[in-house]
Amino acid sequence: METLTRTRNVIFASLFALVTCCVILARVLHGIGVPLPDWTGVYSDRSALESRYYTPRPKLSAGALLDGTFQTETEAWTSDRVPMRDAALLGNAALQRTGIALAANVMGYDAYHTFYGSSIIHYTPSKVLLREPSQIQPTDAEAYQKASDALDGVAQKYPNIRFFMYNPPNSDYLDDSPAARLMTAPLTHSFMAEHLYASLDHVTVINAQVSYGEYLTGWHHTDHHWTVRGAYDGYARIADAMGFGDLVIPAGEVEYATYEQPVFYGSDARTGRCLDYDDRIMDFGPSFHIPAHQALINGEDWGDESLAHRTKYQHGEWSSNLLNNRYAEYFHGDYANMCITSYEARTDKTLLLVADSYSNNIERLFLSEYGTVLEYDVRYNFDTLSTYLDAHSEVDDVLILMSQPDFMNESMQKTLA
Amino acid sequence: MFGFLPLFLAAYFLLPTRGARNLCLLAASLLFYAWGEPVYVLLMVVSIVVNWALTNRLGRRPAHSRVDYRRKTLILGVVFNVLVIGFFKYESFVAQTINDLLGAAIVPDLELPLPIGISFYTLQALSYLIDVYRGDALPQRNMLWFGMYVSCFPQLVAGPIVRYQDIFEQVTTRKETLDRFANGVRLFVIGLAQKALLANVIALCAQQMLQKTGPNIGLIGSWAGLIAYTFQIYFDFAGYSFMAIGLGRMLGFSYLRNFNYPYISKSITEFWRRWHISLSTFFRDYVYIPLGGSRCSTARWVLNLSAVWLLTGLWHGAAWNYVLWGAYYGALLVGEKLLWGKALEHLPGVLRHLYTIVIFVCGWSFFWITDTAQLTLYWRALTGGFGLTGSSTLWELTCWEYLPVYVVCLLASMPVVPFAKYLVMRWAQAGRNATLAAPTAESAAPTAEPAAPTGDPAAPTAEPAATGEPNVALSAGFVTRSLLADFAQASIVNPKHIRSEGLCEFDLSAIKSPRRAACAACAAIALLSDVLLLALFVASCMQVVSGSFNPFIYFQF
Repeated sequence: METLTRTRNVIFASLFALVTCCVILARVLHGIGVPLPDWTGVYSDRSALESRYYTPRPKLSAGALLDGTFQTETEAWTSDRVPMRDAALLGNAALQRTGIALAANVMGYDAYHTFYGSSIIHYTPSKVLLREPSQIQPTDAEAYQKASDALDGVAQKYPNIRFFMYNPPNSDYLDDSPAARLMTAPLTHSFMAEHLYASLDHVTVINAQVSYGEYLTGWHHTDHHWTVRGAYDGYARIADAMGFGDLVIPAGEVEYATYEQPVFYGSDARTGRCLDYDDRIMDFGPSFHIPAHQALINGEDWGDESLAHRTKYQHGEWSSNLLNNRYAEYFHGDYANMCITSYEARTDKTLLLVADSYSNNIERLFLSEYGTVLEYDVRYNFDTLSTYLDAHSEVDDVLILMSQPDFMNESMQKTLA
Repeated sequence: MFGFLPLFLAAYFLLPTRGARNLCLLAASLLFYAWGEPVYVLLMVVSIVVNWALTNRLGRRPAHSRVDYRRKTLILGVVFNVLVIGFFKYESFVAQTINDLLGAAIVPDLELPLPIGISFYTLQALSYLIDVYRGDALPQRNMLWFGMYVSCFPQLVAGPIVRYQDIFEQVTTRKETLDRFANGVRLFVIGLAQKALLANVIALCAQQMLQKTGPNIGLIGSWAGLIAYTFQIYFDFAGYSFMAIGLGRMLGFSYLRNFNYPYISKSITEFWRRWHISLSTFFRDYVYIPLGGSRCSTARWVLNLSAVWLLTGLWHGAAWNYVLWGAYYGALLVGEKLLWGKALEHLPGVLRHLYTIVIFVCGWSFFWITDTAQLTLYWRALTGGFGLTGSSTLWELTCWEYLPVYVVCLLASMPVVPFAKYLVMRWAQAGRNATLAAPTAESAAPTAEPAAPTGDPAAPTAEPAATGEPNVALSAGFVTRSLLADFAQASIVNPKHIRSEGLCEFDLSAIKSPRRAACAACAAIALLSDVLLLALFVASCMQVVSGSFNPFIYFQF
C-alpha cells in the first residue's frame, strides 16, 4: 500500500509539475530549436480565435516596474504563451456551454449563451450563432440623433452629391430574431430607424430591414457578415433606389458557387468560442460576370483578384489555421481607402462607398454602373468625411454602407461629420 | 502559476539546506509582493524590521519581569501596527466621515491606494508581538526568518492569518517530503478549482444582477444574485485559503484550516466558528478575551462583543456598510446568546439550518453592496417590490444559465467528499457489514483528525448485526442518520476542528483491512480521485488562461 501511495504521489506531482511548467518548457524547446507541432501554437504570434496579436515581450525599465506596466505585460505575455492557448479557450467555453445547455433544457429555452459572460447566443433550431441584442439605454436615442445630425450636415454641405444610406443588420439588430423575442427592450432596427433616419432630410435611406428568415438565407450562420447571396439582395435594393435597377439580375437567375473547403468559423464562432456550427465561403458562379477592374488599396496595386481570391481558393491555397477569418481571406481585409477603376462601367461616374467590412463582397457589383468606386472606411480614417469629399471633388454619389452598431460610436460620429 | 510558481519550487527544492531554503522563500515572497506593490513592499519591510526589533526587545526580558518595560514595548508595537494599518487603510474613510459630518473639507483626504495584504500581515505581526509578550512564543532572533514568516507568499495576500506559535518550530525544523508535497498539491488544486471554476464563474451572475439593479431584475434576479454572491465570497476566500494551505504543505508547513464548511452551520455562533477561523480566533484571543470575554456582567459582555464586531466589520473594509455588517452579526450573536438561543436548540436541525442560511445570505447583502441607495433598491427587489423579474424577462436575467453552477456550489459547500471518503474507509476497515453495524469508537473514521468533544448528539445505537448476515430490520433512514451522526462526531465536520492534516489525504496505508478486494477497491478509488483532481486542475488552468472574469476581492484587504 505504501508503494502504491508513493507511486501515486510521484505521478500526481509530476503531472502537476508538467502543467505548471508548460510555458517554460515550451519557450526552452522553442529557444533551442526543437520543432514542435503547429497545433501547440508555440510558434504563433497571433491568435486567430481572438483576432489579435499576442503580447510582445515586455521591456524592463524602472518606470515600467514602478507603475506596474511591466508586471501587467509580463502576465499577459505569459498567458499568451501557454501552449494550445486557443484550444484551452475553446475547451473552457465548451465546458461551460455544456452546463448552460443543460440549464436551457431544463428551462425549455432554445437560445442560450455560448459561455458564461458571452454575448453570442447559440440557437439550436436554426443551427446558428446570433449576437445578443443590447438593451435600449436612455442615451441611445441621443447617440443616433448625433450621428444623424452629423450625416445630414455633411449631405447639406454638398448639394451636388447624392447621398444614400443602407444599413445591413447584424443579427442583434433583427426585429424578429429569436433572441430579440426573448427580451423586453432590445435595441433593434426599428429603434434605429426611428431615431437615426427620422431627421435625415438630405440623405435617402434605403430599406435594409430583413426578416429572420431572410437573414438565415442571406447571412453566414457563424459570422456577422452577409454572404454574396445576401449582398446581392442588398445590391438589388440599392440599385433600385439609386436608379440603376435595370442592371439587376432577377434573384433566381444569379449563379452562386460554394467552396466546400475550407471550413469557415466566422466572427461569432470565434467571439463565442463555439465551433458547433460552421459556414462555407460562397461567391458568384463562373457565369456571373464581374466587370474587369483595377483595385488600388491604400494607394497600392495589389494585383488581380485583390477583391476576391478566387484562383487561390480554387487551387486550395488557404491558411491551414482552422480559425482563420475566411471572409477576409477570400475577399479582402478592411482598409482605410480603396480605389477601384472599372473598365466596363456604363458610366464614368464616381461612387464613394463609406463602408465597413460589409462592403468587401458587394463593391464589385457597382462596377457595372460606376467607372470609379472609392471606398472610405470610417474606422481607419483620421480625416472627416467632409475633408475626404473636399479632396475628391469627382464624387457623384455617396453610399453609406455600414452596419448599425457603428453609428453609436462617438469617434465614428465625429469622423462622419 | 506558469512562471513564478515552477521557478520558485525548482529553486527551493534544489537548495540543500534549511537556511538556504528559508532565504529562498523570503526572497520569493518579497518578490511576489513587490510584483503587485513595487513601492509598498518597503512598507512591509519596515513593518518586519520594526516588529522584529520590538519583539526582540520584549524577549530580552522574561515574561514575568518588570511589567512597565515590557508593557511599554508592547504598547509601542501595538500602536505602530495600528497606525500603519490605520493610516493606509482608514485615512480616507475617517477624513470623508469627518468632513461629511462637518460639512467642510477640514481633514485632507489623501486617497492612498491600499497596500495589498496589509490587513493580513499587520495582524500576523500583532499576534506575534502579543504572543511574545505573553510568553506564548519565543522571539525569533533571526530577522530573516521572521521576515519569512510575515511575508510568506502563500498566505500573504489573502490569509489565513498564521500565528507564529503555530509554526515557530516549522521555521527551522520542518520536513519536506514527497507525500506532503503531493498532498499539498492536491489541496492547492482544490483551492484553485474553488476559485477559478466556482467563484469566478458564479461571480459573473452576481455581478450581472448587481449591474442591472433591483428594478430590472425583480425578486428572482435579486435572490439569484445574492445567493450567487454568497457562493462567490465563500469559494473565493476558501479557495485562496486552500491554495495557501496547500502551498504551505508543499514547503513543509502545516497551517491551520481557515474554513470548515460554514454553510452547514445551525446557528450564527457555529457559523463564526467555521468561517474565516483564523480571523475570528484572532479577535477572540487578542481583543475579546483581554477585554474580559464572557466572564463579566452581561452589560460588559455586550460591550466586549460590540467592540469585537465593530473591529471585525472595519477590518473587512473602510466603509460604513462593513460597519453595518459587523453590527448585524454582533446584534445577532447577542440575541442568540441572550434571547432565542435556548429556543433555537430545541428546533429541528433543518429549521436551525434554514434560520442560519437566511441570516448569512441576507448579511452578505450589506457586505456586497456599498452604496446605500443601491442597497435599498436591492432590498426592495428581494422583498418583491419590483415583481418577479423586474423589467426583464426571465430569459434576459440569465441567472437560470447558472443552475448547474449553483448545484455544484451547493454540493461543494457541504462535506460530501469527506463523507464519501469516510464511508469508503469505514467499509474497507470493518468488513462487508460495516455500514449496518452500530457506530462505535472503533469504527470511527481512521483519519488523522482527533475526535472532538462537542458536536451533534450521539448517534442512536442499534443491535450489532449477526456475523455475515445483514440486519434487515434496520431501515435505510436509520442507517443513514447513524452514519451521519458518527461522521459528524468523528470527522472534520466537527466545528472545533481546525487542523488541516488529513485534508485531501486518502492514506491507503491506514487501511488495515484483511480483505484484498477492499484494499484494491480503495486503491482504485484513490487513483480515480487523483485522475479527477488532475482533470479539475486542467479545467482550472483553462479557466485561468481564458482570462475570464477574476474578481480579486482581496484588494480591499
